[in-house]
Amino acid sequence: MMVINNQLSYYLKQQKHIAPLATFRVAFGVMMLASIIRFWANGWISKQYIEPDFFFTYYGFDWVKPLGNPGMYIIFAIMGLAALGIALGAFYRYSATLFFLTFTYVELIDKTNYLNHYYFVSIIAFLLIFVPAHKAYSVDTLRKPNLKNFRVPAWTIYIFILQLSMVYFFAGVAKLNAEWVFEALPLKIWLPSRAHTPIIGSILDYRWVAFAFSWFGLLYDLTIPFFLLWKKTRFVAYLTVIAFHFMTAALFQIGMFPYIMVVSTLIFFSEDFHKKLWAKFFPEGEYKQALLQSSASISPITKYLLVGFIALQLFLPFRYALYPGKLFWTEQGYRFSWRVMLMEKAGYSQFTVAYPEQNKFIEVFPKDYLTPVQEKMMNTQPDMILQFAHFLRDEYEIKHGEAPQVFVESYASVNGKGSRPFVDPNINLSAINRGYQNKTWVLPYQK
Amino acid sequence: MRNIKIFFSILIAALLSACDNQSGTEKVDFDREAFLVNMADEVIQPSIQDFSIKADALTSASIAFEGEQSDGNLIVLRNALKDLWLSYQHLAYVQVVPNVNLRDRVNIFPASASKIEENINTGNFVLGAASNVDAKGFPALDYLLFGTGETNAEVIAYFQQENLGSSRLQYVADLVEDIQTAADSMQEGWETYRAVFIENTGTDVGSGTSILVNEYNFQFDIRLKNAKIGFPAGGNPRTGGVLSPEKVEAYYSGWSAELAEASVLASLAVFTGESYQSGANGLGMDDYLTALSAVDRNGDDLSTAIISQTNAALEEMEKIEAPYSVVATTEGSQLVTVYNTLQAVIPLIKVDMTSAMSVSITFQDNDGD
Repeated sequence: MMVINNQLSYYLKQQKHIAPLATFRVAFGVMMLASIIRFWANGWISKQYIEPDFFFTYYGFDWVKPLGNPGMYIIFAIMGLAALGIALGAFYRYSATLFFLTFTYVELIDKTNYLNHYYFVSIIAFLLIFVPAHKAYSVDTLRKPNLKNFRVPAWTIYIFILQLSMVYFFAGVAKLNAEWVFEALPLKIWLPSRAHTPIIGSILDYRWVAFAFSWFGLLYDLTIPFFLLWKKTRFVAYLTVIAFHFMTAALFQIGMFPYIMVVSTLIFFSEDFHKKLWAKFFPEGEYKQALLQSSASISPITKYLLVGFIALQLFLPFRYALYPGKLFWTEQGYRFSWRVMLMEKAGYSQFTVAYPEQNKFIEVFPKDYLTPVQEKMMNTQPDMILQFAHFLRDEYEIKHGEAPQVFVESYASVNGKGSRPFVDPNINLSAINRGYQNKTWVLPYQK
Repeated sequence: MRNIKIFFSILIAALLSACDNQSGTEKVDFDREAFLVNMADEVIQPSIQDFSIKADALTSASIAFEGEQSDGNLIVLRNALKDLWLSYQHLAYVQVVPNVNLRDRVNIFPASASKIEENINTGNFVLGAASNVDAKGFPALDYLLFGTGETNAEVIAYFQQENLGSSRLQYVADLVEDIQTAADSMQEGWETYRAVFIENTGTDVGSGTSILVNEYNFQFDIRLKNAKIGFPAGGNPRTGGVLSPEKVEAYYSGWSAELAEASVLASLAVFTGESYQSGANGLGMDDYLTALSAVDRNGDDLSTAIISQTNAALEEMEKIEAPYSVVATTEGSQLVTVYNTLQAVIPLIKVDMTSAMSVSITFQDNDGD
């Protein structure tokens, strides 16, 4: 045990050149800046964080509130500057911290907008706070030449490789389900709807294509970290990364994610590759102070934080096993698990606010309170249905001076297998507590 | 390297064997462009055309009635209203032309009689204002031509009243003009929009298919099931509610049943891509779903399920003899049965159909639920 521990310790603390980390820093910062500009230009700041009347907060984070106009724009402006700071290595620790805080804050406002890749961004931003990615090729080293150090402990690079590998691998594990493997679902549903895509569109109507994509996607996710790690296959693997992500970008509405992954995976490349890359821009920088040892010790706080973080990362994708029922149906433990493009789910819900003793029953249309996207997301996710029911309860309590009962008649369908009753229509949702306990008020998936 | 070769050989072999069982060449065999062209030229365009012709007829009848408030002119005007209202039932499912918003413009019911009278009295109103949605369109004409007197003579007297008669006639003329304008802008808008409608054969936001499906669903769920049946029969009759017979469509003329049945028939015609003129079957949403092998929860053909469930609703409606405003005065009436049969269609069209076609509602990034 001691030996293993020592070896691991040696392995993680060995001195590495900073080049891969610096490339990663710049690539990530630039991508984030581009994402923020795109988000802003599309008018999504207003659409997602200013216009809605109601926000689906995360359980335990109900205190996170949007800041309205111009507050949200200011937040995004700060986030953009922080992303630029990361890319340039300017006031790096502050930039990374500020970026992590602003980005995560925005993501916590409304789970409607949850995307695995936003979660990924939060994680990477968090990790960047702890690594000295700015100690070369950066504005900070121009400001303070003493800071310059081309040596970093290996763990500061490996942690990103590990994180990226986990994203791919868990995404692959999630695809190991019967419908994905044997029925090519949901791609069999999605691909034909993209038959108008230029060039490849014409083949998307064929069933075998959905199978080929499903299987390729599955094997890609499960194996790509290993092929990227292995020097002999790395180059071909990276070409596959490019091909895979550009294909998904052409076919699906997944925004910046493909491009973020394409540049992030560069970190798998060797020290020499990155050194050569940087030498093109900073020819004089090479090893001037290379022999300066980076501090080999890692503060205990950072160490335990990172160990805890990795443990959490390993746990979250499997927490669904703690709940009974069909994961795709109840979605208990679905988020934060790298379940990307995994199912086609749709739903419908119709709410009734009731004061039975007054014989008063009011039908409520979610579209009067929610954006189309919020409503669509709510219709398929029980925790959001419950949240909206509570929102209605509180609204009507203000309006009528008395809390009503709230019922929902809802249907959902997974992977085109036909809609079924979703939430128990006889349960008064206003009396159900939110939380991580099993949602017994979601009807079991009927065969 | 050898291991990799073996690995990929097995992979390819497995892949081929997985698809080789006669499903290998299976595909979604559907001409999406032909579908959109059929919907455009056989369903939507003739529907807009018909609505426009009938709006013209209403305008002429209104002018005649304004000139002379005879019994004959009143009857002609009423019939013109009914023809147009029936024609609208079809167009409402396919009002895909942007920026016309026909539904809110011509058929928000119940009409507010008091608001209409107030507008007439003050003469100070803008029909396009949001506050006047229930003081215009067919329901307002329904009130003015039927609700202002028990007999034809009383209605005519209402329009010939000394002080307000001319203002009342003017209000009718204004209402008809507003409808005519809507019909015209629908027709003009369609001329340029047709090309856009058939251009994108996908189902992303803005594509003809996604707009069509959303309009169809909205009309069926909100305006047929809820407005025509549910609200008068007590909101969502499943959970109980206050009976509101005054909320039926065409309350004063008593055409509610005919209009609602026309709406259900129109939904079927639109769903199956039936030619508006000839009634011939063309490529419709039903054919698309069948090509996609879409099934309901029992594994049966989804198109068939939608059609038969819609027909079941129609059968229940045909059993009703009295005007809905009378039927809706009793608890647990036949309207509740109609509501329930219509409600059974909703998950099929709003969940199963949109899911099978992957109809998108947003440009926002999405990583697949």
